Amino acid sequence: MAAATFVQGSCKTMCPPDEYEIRKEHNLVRPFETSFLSAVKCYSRSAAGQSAARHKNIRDLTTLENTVKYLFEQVLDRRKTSLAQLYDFVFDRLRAVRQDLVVQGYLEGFSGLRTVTVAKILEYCVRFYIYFQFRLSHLPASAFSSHLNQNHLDECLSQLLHLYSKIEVKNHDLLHQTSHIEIEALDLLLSKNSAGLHRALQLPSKTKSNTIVRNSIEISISLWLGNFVRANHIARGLPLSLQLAYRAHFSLLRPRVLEVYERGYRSPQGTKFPLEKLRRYLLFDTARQTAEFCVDCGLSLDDTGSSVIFKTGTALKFSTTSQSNNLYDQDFEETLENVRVSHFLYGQSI
Amino acid sequence: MQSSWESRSGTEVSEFLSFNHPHVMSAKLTAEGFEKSVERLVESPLDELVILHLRCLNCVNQQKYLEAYSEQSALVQAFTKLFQTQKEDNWALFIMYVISLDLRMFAIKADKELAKKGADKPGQTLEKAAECLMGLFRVCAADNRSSDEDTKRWGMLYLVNQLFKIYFRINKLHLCKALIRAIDASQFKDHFSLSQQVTYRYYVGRKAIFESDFKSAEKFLTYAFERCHRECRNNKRLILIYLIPVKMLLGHLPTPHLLRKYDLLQFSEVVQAVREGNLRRLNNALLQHDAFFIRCGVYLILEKLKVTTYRNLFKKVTLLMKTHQIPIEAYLEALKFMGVEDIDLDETQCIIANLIFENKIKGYISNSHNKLVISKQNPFPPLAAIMKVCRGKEISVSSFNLFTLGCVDRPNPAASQASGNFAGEAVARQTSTCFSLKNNEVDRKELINRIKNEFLTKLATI
Repeated sequence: MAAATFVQGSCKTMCPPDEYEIRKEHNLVRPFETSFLSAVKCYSRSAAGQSAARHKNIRDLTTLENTVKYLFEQVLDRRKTSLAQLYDFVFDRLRAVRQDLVVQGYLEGFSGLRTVTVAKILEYCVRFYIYFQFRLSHLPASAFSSHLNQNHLDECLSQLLHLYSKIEVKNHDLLHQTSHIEIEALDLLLSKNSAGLHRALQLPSKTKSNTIVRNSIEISISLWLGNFVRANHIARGLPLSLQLAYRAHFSLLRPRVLEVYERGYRSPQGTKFPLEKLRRYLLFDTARQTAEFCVDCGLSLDDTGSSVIFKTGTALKFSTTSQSNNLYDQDFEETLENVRVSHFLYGQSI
Repeated sequence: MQSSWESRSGTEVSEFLSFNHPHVMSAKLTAEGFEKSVERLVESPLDELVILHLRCLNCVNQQKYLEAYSEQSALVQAFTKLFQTQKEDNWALFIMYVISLDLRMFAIKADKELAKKGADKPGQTLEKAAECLMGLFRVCAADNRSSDEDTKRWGMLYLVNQLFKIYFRINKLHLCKALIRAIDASQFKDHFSLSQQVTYRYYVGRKAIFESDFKSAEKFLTYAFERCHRECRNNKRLILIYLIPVKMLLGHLPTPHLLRKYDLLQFSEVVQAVREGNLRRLNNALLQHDAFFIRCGVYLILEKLKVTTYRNLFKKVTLLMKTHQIPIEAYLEALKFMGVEDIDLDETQCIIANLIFENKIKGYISNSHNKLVISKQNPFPPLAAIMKVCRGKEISVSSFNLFTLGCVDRPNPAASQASGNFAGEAVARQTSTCFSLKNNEVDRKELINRIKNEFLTKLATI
């Protein structure tokens, strides 16, 4: 890979002065950016045919690190507006940070300690996507695109794993300065097919014997065998970031879980299954959400509205309902309210 | 060499260009200035090939595999150009076979060399080799104007097999898809040589396992095993490593004789455990040989055998209870007895619900009475019969289409009601049974004690 195609950034402010001037002129400065000092470079599709002075608009690694810290501590922690609006702003600015990393070649080659810093930044991003995937899941698609968020999460994760493999080959000891254990476990829990499990089983035994990784493997295998109860049970003991990831992934399995219970409990005369019990299995926050989900899938409730009826001859139909991706959980909300966002994102809540 | 070339004797020329042939031992070939001698004796385009081959030989003799690879790669590329110009002719296919094989072999050795030096990307030489071979593949695949006898398309399957070997080694199975499609579309699909077909099906079978398509995997691997020459014991053994777990999943256990014959005793504990419904034994068996199973990539299928083991265990429990409505506690106690830690009624119900969902138990769970009500007729259908019906795709979000009902064949509700298959209906009409459907606490405690005292000991002896 020709190093000549990568630029060495020289910008030492969060926002390149040129850009700030242009944006100010066109009234494109966001409310968060009260002055030049608090302006942050925004994301734009990389323009072709950049001039030689391009490096002035690309932030160097230290600046990028400081930018991310600023976004987390001065914007997210301060919480001056709704979570959705904070997400919008920080999502875009983080995208710009990642873009600056890419054009400088930091995601390709190995650059010693700097690669560790790059890995750290990506780890912060991964936790960012997971945090908001969880907290904004209950919003309608117009307010929060869980699909887009998921795509960026997936991209970030694969870039990170790629970096880890480079670090492992070049300087194995540096790996300990990263959170590779947490990320490997995260990647496994979010994996949509058994390829993730195959990969996890072939990890070096030192990694595999770590409790977090071991539990994540057990959870994945349990899910693979259909043992949702065991998976949910083990997941409760995971560190916070992994729990959020687990729940995000689990919501995709809800239709299957409902199918299994419907099939296992349905009788010709109709079985009444308590919504409260089903709620626990489906990881919904309230019985009402559970009821809504069941009804959307073609099931009916009993007269009291506290049980769903499983009867032979009912046809289940699945479509993305309003509730299927809803991750909202009162207990988690309270926990997250009491944890400083930046702490979570830095990985300190493990 | 020149005369073999002129007489278009593919096999003879290929011998001279292969590293398997004894000529590679001769020191005379790589003496100083051999290039000039070659140019003198051999005509173009053959001379280029010979020179590259000898240069490669030189590198191999000095154990410089990275350089040997480059020479071989240049050889393959030169050959590709040459091959393309040979219209309506395929005698050079034999040459193609040997040089492709050697290319792959040197790539493997070159990667090992790079790994020792702390390479960036493991398997990068193999990836390059794959690209090289794809070039050759395209030449073969594109040759659709020639007659069936002279077409280069006959070389396709050999190359596909070489590419499979590379892709499996560098773990890029998704690249196999396009090749499989190409072979499937070929009219020669069933006319390639048997050994090539066996190799092909072996890899396609392994890929199917990786994608959890066990029915297809069984089909391919069975073909490979049955048609593999009986003297290729090693190959037969390799095929069995994958065929055995797949067949077990589909309800057929291997005989001890088979395992002994092919030196696959790692599986014998697993087989015994599954047959007995002994979870503890299965877990130990998996632990004992986990490195072997993981390395071969069959560990996950063997884990899936837990479901079969649950089914066998629960069948025994049901038989011992001698009734059609079994309290869930019975199964819970059995699981605890088998060493499953931290398990509760919730989890037991979940396991049973899954078995019903997969048609392995015919019945339903009564939530209010916490009992499994089973069909009076064949409540535990033989696994082999079920697997024919159910497409058996496991839980994976990508294969789970949110707009279908999943893989289960739902029994016709009208039919089963008419035939009175469900014991629940019959029992509702009865008033006196050993276990009435009333929730009776005293009966329950007594029952649990009975379970613990009586049948757990019986269970151990079965």
